[in-house]
Amino acid sequence: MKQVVNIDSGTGDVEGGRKVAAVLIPHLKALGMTVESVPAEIDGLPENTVATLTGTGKAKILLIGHIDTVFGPGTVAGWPFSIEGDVGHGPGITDEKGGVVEGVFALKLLNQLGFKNFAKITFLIETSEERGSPGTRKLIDKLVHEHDVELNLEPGDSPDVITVWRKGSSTIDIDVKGRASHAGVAPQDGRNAATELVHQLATVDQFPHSGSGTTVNLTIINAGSRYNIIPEDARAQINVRIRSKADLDAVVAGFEKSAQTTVVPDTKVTVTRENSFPPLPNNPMTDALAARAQAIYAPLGLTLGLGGNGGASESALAYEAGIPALDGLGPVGGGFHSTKEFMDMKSVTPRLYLLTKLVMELGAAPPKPAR
Amino acid sequence: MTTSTWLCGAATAAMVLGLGGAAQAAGKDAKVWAAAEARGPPSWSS
Repeated sequence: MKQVVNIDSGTGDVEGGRKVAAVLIPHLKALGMTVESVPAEIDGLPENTVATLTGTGKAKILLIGHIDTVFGPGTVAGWPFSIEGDVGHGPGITDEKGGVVEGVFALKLLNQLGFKNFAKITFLIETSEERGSPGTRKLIDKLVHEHDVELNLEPGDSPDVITVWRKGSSTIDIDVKGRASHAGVAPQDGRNAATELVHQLATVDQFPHSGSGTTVNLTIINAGSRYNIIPEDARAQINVRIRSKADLDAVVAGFEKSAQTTVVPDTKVTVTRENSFPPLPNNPMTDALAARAQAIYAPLGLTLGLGGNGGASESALAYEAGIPALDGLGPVGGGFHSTKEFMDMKSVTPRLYLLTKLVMELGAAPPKPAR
Repeated sequence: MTTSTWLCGAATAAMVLGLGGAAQAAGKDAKVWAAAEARGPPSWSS
């Protein structure tokens, strides 16, 4: 765990991703798994790892985890892996290197116990989830169609919750084209793209910024190149999280309507959408898996809560393919996507037990897909 | 005392005596739990 957390592997860090995979792959091979490094589907990303183990039973089980984080190069140097009491710290410790390590350990347990009552276990370790899996999308789609169930190793939420719904994630880009001019000699000849963008961004406040439903938040803004030039270009990116696909249409329509009316004359506003993950809605297939998980957990004297959150994941793609999916099976943590990220070390053993037992039960009695 | 109250009282007594934990542990897969414990937090520090 310390080894993989102490390697910077922000999305797009090709060498970092390869180094993390190089730590994990020998463990998977030692279990007799067939390991394939699959090139990313776009440039600038490290290979995805697909490890496969064949058994003697019926069910085909897909585990998915990711080793990319949201943290850039150099983060580990100032914030390395550490454990203080029952709390672990470090970049990506729960999102999602802890989940990936849990997956490796669960496979080790199955091997140790001599459990083979499954047709196939595939462990996909992907490298671009934090950007919506652009380097893995086709691979995920192929794999979910080849399996009976998907178990996702995203972190559990506090106090001890697995994930039965997730919001979908999209980005709305607002691009403004103006006209450059000298800010001191001829400002009247310029058309200020940044000023127009500020007006357009008022639309963000027409929607909620937090809560369990649709959320719309400004996350990136760029404008201007020099202090003495009226900006010709300005761009903002708006992160949108939705519970249903129709919700996104309403948000896009709001920005498109705003774009039709500009405050700065002669500027042009363009609105485009980029879909990352669809939502994982509440659904009977996931609920049935969650009930199994709760039944496994109860004899431990622990209560496994069911919940959802605004973080998107690959489970939504499994759901779209009609494959039962359960999410948030990694160790419990919080503070995700910030330097407050932590892991509740007390959750490690129960969560490892849960994942291992889920695989054993599903291996013997796979759920029925909706496809 | 109604039957349900009696059952409630018996359950409480069992918990006080520590029998609740034993009853819960009966559903636990001891082999898997022991293996999971062996790969618990100490081994996550390396």
